[in-house]
Amino acid sequence: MPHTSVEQAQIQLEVMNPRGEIPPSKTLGISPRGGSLDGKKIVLIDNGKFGANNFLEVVGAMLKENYPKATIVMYPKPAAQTITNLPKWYPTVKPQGDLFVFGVGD
Amino acid sequence: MPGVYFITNEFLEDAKSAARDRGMPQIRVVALPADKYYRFRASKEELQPIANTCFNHMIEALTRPLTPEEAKPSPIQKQREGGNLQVAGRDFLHAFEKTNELFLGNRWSDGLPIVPPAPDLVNAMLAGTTRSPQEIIGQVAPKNGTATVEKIAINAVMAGAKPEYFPVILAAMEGFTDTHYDLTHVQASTGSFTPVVMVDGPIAQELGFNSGIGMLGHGWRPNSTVGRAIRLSLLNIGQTWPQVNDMALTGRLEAYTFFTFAEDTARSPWEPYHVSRGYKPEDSTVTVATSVNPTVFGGGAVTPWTGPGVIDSIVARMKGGGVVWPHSQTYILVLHPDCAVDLANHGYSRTSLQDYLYEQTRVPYEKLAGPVFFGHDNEVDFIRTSIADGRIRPDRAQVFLDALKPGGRVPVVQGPDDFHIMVAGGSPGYDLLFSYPGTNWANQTKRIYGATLTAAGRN
Repeated sequence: MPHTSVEQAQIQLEVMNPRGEIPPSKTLGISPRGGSLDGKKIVLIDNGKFGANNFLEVVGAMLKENYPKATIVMYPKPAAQTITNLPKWYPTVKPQGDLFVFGVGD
Repeated sequence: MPGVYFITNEFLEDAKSAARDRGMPQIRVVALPADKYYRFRASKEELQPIANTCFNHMIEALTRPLTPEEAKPSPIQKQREGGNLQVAGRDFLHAFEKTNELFLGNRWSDGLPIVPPAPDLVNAMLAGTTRSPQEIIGQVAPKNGTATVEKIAINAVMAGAKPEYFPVILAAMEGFTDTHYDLTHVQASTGSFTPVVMVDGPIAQELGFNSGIGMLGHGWRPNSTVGRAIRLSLLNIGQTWPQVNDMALTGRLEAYTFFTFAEDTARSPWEPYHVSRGYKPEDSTVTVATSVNPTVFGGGAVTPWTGPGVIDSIVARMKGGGVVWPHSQTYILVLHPDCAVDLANHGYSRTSLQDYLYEQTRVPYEKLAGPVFFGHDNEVDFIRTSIADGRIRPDRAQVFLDALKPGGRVPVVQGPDDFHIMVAGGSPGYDLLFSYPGTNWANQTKRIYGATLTAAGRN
């Protein structure tokens, strides 16, 4: 059969979309910020994976050196979580300080 | 609370995707070079140059005033996933190929050819169940896509499943979307976990599932296409894609069909697994679970073995190092029928074997020396925290408290029923140990019902 470069649609195949609908979620902005870090309490949250504590300690030391009036605290995420108890932990972060640095998230 | 997230550059798309999923698309992230961070993270000295390069970026992220879009992001438009598509072709084979290109280009396929999900084929699939096409089976992580019966049917057609398999697929999806099952971990984790799908009860034989030699391999349409229908449903309904929001580092060894097999109830010396879970013998069920890849025991056709010898090897393996994670560890032990019979001849029931495994795998307190992460310096601290925050069941807590002292023996699981023992495989055969040191209690067993095309699974 000779090859033809002109495609002529002879048939239409109707197919269905396999993707799931994503329920709409409320969109939130991030928290306001601005100004110096002096006088602020900065919470370093170790996500618990190997080496994250080392990295955050290095970052914490740099923060202390560059912002001597800031307070640096470590607040590690508790041991490997279940899907049921992480929501109870998140609200405990806010009372720890003014800003957070989370890492290292893979 | 203002903040910034450190990630590595390989996870930038994943972070953005997760942020959008949770309604905060504008979070500020600072990316570290993955090729350096993972290599040097053990040493603060070696991490210092990495921190130097990102420090100013972090400060800027913590202090720069918000843009209007960051303060009030535009609503995320809901993407409609309904409506049929028309694919034109010179002939059927051309349209077939174009459909496959379209679906893979849209990230709606696993890379193997799919059966075009034409409405007639989907309706035929739906005729395999009495359940309404609009019934919601659950939400599929990580994007919480809504798994209706119809959407699962579309994916089942694509996988090449027969309509009589459909009730099995629906029950499996009920298990994966159970709110007690951490599907996000399976779908997205770097750990590259592979689901296990085990069919039990009379429907397994009626549909022709393989539970013998080659049970995890190719050649049996029920095993292959039920697993693939679940694979495609999780991919498409949860909207995942490798290197975007599925970060399984190696992919999964059974990427296309998962570990899908049936229990060999005819050759098992014990009651069927699902009966041990409280179901009736005449019920048909699907058990789904999360696992790392299995470890193989026994001699197969090569070397001699005994049932007790196999169990001793398994005990040694379970005790042989690594961190003790009793709050979340589960095991699936698939014994080949000859081994199960030999153990029964040595006096073991499933329950007594579970008890034996539980007792023999307990780790002396003095050997709890493994360094652990997740914010703890030692395993004792790790286990105590697990008790305190409820991840070790309250009725099991005292067992662990009693064991956490000199002379104590600490269980590696919360209770004997965390060893799930099933019977399948060839003669000769091997025994498979699937484990999951995950973040939840992973196993779910769901009853199959609503079948219209099989004698089993109707009610």
